[in-house]
Amino acid sequence: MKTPRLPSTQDIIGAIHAGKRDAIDELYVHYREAFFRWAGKRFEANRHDYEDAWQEAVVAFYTQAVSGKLTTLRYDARTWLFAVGYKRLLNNNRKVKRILWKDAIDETLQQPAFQLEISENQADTEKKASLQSAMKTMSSQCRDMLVQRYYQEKSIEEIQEDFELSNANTTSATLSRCLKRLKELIKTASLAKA
Amino acid sequence: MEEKDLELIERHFRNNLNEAEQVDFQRRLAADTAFREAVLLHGDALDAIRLEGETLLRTRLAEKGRELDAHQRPRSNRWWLWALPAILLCAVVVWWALPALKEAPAAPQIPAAPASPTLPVEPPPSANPPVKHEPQAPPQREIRQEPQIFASWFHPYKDDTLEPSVRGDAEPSPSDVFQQRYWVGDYRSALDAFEVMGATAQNNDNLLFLKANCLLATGNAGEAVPLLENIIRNDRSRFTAQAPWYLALARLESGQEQLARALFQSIAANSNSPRQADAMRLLDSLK
Repeated sequence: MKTPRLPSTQDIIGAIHAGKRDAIDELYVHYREAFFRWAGKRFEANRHDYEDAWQEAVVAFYTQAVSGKLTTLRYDARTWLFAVGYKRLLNNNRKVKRILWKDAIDETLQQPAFQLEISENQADTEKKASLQSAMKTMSSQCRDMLVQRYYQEKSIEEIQEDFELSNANTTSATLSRCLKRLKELIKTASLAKA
Repeated sequence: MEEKDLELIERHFRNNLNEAEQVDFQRRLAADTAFREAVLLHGDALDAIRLEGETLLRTRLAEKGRELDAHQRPRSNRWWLWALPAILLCAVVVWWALPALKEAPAAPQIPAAPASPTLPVEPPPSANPPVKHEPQAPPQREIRQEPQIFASWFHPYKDDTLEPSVRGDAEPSPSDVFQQRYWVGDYRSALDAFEVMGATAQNNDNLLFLKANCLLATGNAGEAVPLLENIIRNDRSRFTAQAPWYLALARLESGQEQLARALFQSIAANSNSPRQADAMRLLDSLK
């Protein structure tokens, strides 16, 4: 069965910016099986590994698009996603790398501009665990509000509506309080470690 | 830290500072330790939120993936539901059709015709035997079994990874065309596509394995034999484990029965072979 045609990459980025949750789901679904088949020609990995790599690629696409780092793509979304997924599989499957089925993705991966485009600040594992632990200590409402505001880049008004808060000022104040609390938790954790 | 400083830091992370503000921001970052620490802390908080957001998104995508897999499983089962009876039906048709085809040309010369080279030689009739009018089917064990066994057991190799991936509007490469035709079962046309591929692709053992399957599917088992032997010798194809099975079938079909039997026996004895069980069953049918 043929899957329906996907909107252009630019439209997908626009939709993610506009907070349309379906846009990223659609992207994830559209190329998923194609990625599994494509990756299956290169790696002796199982479906679970391909799924992990694919999720990571889609999440990276979303993160970069929503934060405004990805406004236009030098490559189409498929190439970008496959290359990021490939990189992830490569890191986990160095011993079984296959280069017999070379195509445009491999060429894209070699380009320094692409390497720069997909690079991101990755916190080291220990720091990452500490940050995640601080986040887990927060109330679920604070966590969700912070994610909506600072990760999904939702406006104060949208958050106010989602959480049924009385007005924008209350929403802003709640967000400030949550952010302050998170910073305190991070600071305490880093002091305890020191 | 004052409220306006926090607001400035937040705007810095959103890339919302104008040029003058940026200059001032950099100056304070270099000179004011408390300010620098506040900036670092804000960065850490944003990292913590991003990690949480990514975890939530990944959880949602994983759920979606499970739903997709749950929908897809019955589909692949349905494929087998129609494919297996179709294969069985083909096998039965071949089984019944072959004796009739073999008998037809020999019919006018029944008393004098020499025995087929593959049939056991019958002793000559002793004295003026009457022409038999009732057609007598030869005993089952006297018919050359190899073509029937080949037809029953040979199915061109396929797995999910061979399904051509979706491409954009780009022109498919010759090797893509070859694989697409192979995938849809157009083996003759796939062989044509193979011929126009570049030299590198034509020497790729993965693609040569598929070519060997095309040759087997189009009645050119003899040509498939050296290709499969090379693939096994080179041991650089991801189909190396499958290749002996197809080589044995190719030998069987091209009349090298003893070599085929020996190879089937070796596959049946190899617990690492993905075709061990098939080889055991096939050897049973060869007895």
